[in-house]
Amino acid sequence: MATVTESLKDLLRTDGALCSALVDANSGMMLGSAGTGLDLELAAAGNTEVVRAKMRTMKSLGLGDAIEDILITLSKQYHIIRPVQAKPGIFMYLVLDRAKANLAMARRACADAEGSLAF
Amino acid sequence: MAVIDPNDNCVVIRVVYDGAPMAGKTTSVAALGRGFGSNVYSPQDYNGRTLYFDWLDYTGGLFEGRRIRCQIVSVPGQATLAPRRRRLLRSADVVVFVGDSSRAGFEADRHYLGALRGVLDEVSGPPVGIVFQANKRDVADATPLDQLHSMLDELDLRSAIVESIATEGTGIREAFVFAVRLALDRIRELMSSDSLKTGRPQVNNAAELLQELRLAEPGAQDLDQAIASNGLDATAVHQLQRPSSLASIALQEAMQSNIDALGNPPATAIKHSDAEIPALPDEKVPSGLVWPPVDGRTILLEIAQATVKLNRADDGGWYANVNNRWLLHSAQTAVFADADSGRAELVNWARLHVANGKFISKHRCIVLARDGHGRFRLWQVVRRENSLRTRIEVALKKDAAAIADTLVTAARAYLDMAARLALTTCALPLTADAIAVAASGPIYVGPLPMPSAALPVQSWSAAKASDALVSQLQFAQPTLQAHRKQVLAALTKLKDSDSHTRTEWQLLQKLFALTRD
Repeated sequence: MATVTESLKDLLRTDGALCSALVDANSGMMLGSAGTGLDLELAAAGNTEVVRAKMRTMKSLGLGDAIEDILITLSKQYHIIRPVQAKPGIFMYLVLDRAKANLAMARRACADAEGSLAF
Repeated sequence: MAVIDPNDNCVVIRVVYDGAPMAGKTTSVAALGRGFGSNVYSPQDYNGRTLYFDWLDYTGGLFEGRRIRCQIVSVPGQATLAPRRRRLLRSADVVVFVGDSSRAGFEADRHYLGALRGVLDEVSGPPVGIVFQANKRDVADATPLDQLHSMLDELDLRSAIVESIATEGTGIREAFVFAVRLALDRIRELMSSDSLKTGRPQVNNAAELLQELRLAEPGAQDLDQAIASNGLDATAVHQLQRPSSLASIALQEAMQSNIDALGNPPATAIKHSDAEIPALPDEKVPSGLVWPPVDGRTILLEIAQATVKLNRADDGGWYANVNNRWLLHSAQTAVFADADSGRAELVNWARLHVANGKFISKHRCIVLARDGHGRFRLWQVVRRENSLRTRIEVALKKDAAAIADTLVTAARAYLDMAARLALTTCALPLTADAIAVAASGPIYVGPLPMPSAALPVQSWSAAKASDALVSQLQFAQPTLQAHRKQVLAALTKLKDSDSHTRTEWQLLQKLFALTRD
């Protein structure tokens, strides 16, 4: 099992990874972060709203399902938001350089990091 | 002191780091500052010891669309600065108590926690949450966690424990983020009662806090100089003779501190292979789904940190004994397809708790959480207390006098509880394992029925209650019969020495009968 710091640093080994964070969805505050290239504090807080909005939409649609991950494609970056299933209220956040990243591998890396988290 | 600042569109909260001297408060705040890339400001310190406070200002996260601005303040730990410490604690929206895990620090932690409780009891409004940051976990003789839990129980403090090594920065961020979460729970309560103010914070920066403290403490600068020069003996005698002078107050508290120090002594979530087993609730449930909001979340953190084995009850519900401290229970009917219907029942259940608050134990919470199968489940967590049955079981291993004394005390409490249960708003079982004796009298310490399952109040006549107690004491009969002569003699002595009501006398007769074959 990996600590928060170890998991986030491991994520940065993914091709194209720029920065990563573990975020408390209740307050939008980060439990840990690694890498640079983005104002992670702001991104963490903002993405909390993204997760909440998506969950509200799913609820109003009557979808009784769980979010595995949310992928946002920008012109130069990928942003992956992955709720930690074992710890509701916490999500992982990974930012990748689109030119260098392999999306499937990145999603896989997030899933692996989520599974190995211990805190 | 929480406030909504419309200028910056943020909610301002104060996180106060408390603890005994050298426990690691300043180190913790410094580690936080390094993590945030912000500087910590300490107006004055002496040989590394904080004289006023350490100040860290951090804005991050999001609450109801507003940024969260945290004024992070650590207090001075020295006994001579107790009034200053108290003033800072009274302004807290949440407290992170940094505890020294070494054996030597344990007693100091107990003393300071007791004082902290006294201060926070005076703060009006929703309760101020406490996170116990058990620091110095890397020392060889670190106090075990269960001992820390016991200490918190003895002090009647509901506090989550987060382990840390401040010098390495380990656990610091986790403790802080959890503290912010507790503070936000408090703010939601303030908002719901329209008590959250809007405006510029009363203290907006470290300089203003310093000024506020100095204005509140006449002679503060003299005291600072005295401490810094190690020359408290230079304080004028007439200042000590005035009881209200800062020097006098500080000296009294320093003396009391020495006397006291000498004399005083989450669900690890189950990775279920059985599709039926529900997921356990933990401290990260969204706000509004746990009651009471602050203390309940603290209880859930403790559950989440334990290894929990869920058992299926005969009635189809789920229960677990957590660390021999908590009973976790969910009824078979406590499952809901959506959060809204679950929340409606949660709110009604909370109302039931409040309506019966005088008759039930305090250490409990209720929570609505996802069950891991696409639905929502209501849980309740109740702290295990020293029930009448437990007391009797313990007494049965002692001498006849102890047995008799305990039986009589238990009988009185049981009859008293029977009368009290007539005043509740729903039927509660009258059983010896669900009644304990508190300072205010007997209380019900078992689980509360959900509102949808609540039955009308049952009234107990004294005779009926007596018969019920005697039938529940059958487990004690072999021991009572084995020591019949001695127990009878002890009971008779009690009967003669104490005055009893007619009801008690009749019950005593029935207890006598238990000793016969």
